[in-house]
Amino acid sequence: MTTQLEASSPYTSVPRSGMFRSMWNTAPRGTLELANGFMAALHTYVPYGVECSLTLPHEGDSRADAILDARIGGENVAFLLNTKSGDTPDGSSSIAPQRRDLEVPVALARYLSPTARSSLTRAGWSYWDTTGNVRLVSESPLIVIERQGAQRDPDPSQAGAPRQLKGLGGAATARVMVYLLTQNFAPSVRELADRTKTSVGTVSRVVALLRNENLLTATGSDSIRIENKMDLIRRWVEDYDFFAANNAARYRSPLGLDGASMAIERNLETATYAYSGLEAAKRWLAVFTPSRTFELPVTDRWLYVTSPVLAEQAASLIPDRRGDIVLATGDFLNGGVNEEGSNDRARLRSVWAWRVAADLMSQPGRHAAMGEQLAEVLAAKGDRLWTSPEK
Amino acid sequence: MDIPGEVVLARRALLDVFEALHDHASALVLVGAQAVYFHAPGGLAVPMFTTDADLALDSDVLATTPDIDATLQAAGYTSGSNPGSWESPLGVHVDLMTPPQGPGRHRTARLPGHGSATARQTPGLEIALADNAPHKIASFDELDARVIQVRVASPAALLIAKFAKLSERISSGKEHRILAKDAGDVLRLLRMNDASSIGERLAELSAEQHPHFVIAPLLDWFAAQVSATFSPLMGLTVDAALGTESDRDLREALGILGNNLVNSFLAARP
Repeated sequence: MTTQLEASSPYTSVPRSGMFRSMWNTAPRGTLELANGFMAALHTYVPYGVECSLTLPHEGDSRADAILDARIGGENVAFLLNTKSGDTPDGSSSIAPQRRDLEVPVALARYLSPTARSSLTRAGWSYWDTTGNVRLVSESPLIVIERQGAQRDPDPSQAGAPRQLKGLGGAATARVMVYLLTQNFAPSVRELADRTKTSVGTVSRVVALLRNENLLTATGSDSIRIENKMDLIRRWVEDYDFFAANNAARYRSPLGLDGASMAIERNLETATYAYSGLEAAKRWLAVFTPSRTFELPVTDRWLYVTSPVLAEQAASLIPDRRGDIVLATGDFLNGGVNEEGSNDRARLRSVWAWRVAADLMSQPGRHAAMGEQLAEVLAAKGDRLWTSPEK
Repeated sequence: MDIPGEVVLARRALLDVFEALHDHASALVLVGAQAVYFHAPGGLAVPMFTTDADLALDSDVLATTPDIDATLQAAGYTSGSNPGSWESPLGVHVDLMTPPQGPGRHRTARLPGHGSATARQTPGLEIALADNAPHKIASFDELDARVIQVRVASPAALLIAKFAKLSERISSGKEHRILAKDAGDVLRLLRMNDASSIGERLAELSAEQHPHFVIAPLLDWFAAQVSATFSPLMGLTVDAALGTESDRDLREALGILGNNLVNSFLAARP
């Protein structure tokens, strides 16, 4: 069933009574609203006019939730619209549906994050969201439309399920993210909760958010597998801030950087402190890329400690917003076997390398650049880093 | 850590002269910048720098043969214009010194069996001969596998030597001979070693017979310097950092750590 577009309205007028309503009721909730929004937007992208008509796919054709037949510049094209309630189309992390000539698969959503958009593009999809992010690409007919809308969800409360995680900025979430990035197997939600000493509820919400944003690969079971580690960490640091998440504070010490470090190492138990930041990043990079040297000077030292008070005493630390010694709360350092903690693999008592990368990437300037560099090396090496035998 | 070429050469010179004087190894004590950097490889953002090797001779232990003067000349060393100053075959400066051997301002050290210009008397080295420990010292050149075991003056001894040098030159108005680097070395040693422990050690040493008269006056001088924010020592320390740290932080650091040392000394002194 099709309805010709009326010249005075950019929207397809689809009768909502009788059999038509029942047909649209079989489509995922929100499909019509999104499709109408997409059509309206299409008219703004194509200044010389476009004719549209919206239909449902034939029974048995699972390639789309709705089909928008359009005539653009004398060429016919069928947009295969794929939607889902929530942010991202279901299964869109998989390869775009097989298409025939003059067909363009398009993922529609209320909001698509930068990571989701990147993932969709790699999988062969075009996309559109209500904030104005759009990428419509087709070779036949030739269509190239690309615009940028919101970079953050303007209304996270609409994202879907109740008590949905609003972001990935917390310390508990950080433990989950570090573990996901570091391990090379796919744990279940419960196993992940046990290993990170995080509630099942929190882990579930983190996993749900990541699945909504196409950052996890569907495994067909309750196990979790990351689609792309670089996408994951970049998404994480959109919300995560090393200082805010870990109650980090800056200090200065009369002992200077080197002297303060030595004093802490000399006076604190090994399991109660661990480095992050530039110093740790340089050491980790030296481990994984020994043929390269890194000249970036370490202008501040970041340490996770289980007791900031003891560290302050050991190194005579004086609170100073411009100080070059940073102490962060590291409750996870008390972790047991198979849990996150610290190790000496980098020839420095350091937190796990992915945490170092995220801590740095969450800050501006060369800290972020160094973190990005470390993350890329870790992603490429795919090394199994957790559980040091000497822990 | 990147080590400047001059420092690599200076370390080589130390190993060379130690080998040349191996018959007198037990009487040699490493002092000066190389000893400072051994105990304080960091402490300032300014990289370590030295172009010479300094050794103290313990005349109580030194054998009368072989003649040091003759041994060095045979090994290609040339004596400088000052007693105790030698130049290695590679052109690196080596200084041989002893503590003052009595009243008066004689420069040449009297060492039975050795040439008259072998070493010079240098105030402040008394504690170096009393407070040192054997350590392994290796070359900085990756092609040179040599490692020597040599007595290295303690942080407490090195600080007393620095105090002696700085106090003499500041009080005599010899600003042109004052090196900010010496003040920087004081802060390095205080930062990289426990200042309170150094104070306690100096209190122990002051109770022993012969060096005690050296320590107390020098610590009085040091206490006055670290208690005044704009003392000459504070100014020299700021100069030594070459802008790598703020004036405020440097003065604060020297004040806190210096007073920790002095207070510990006073509390532990018998």
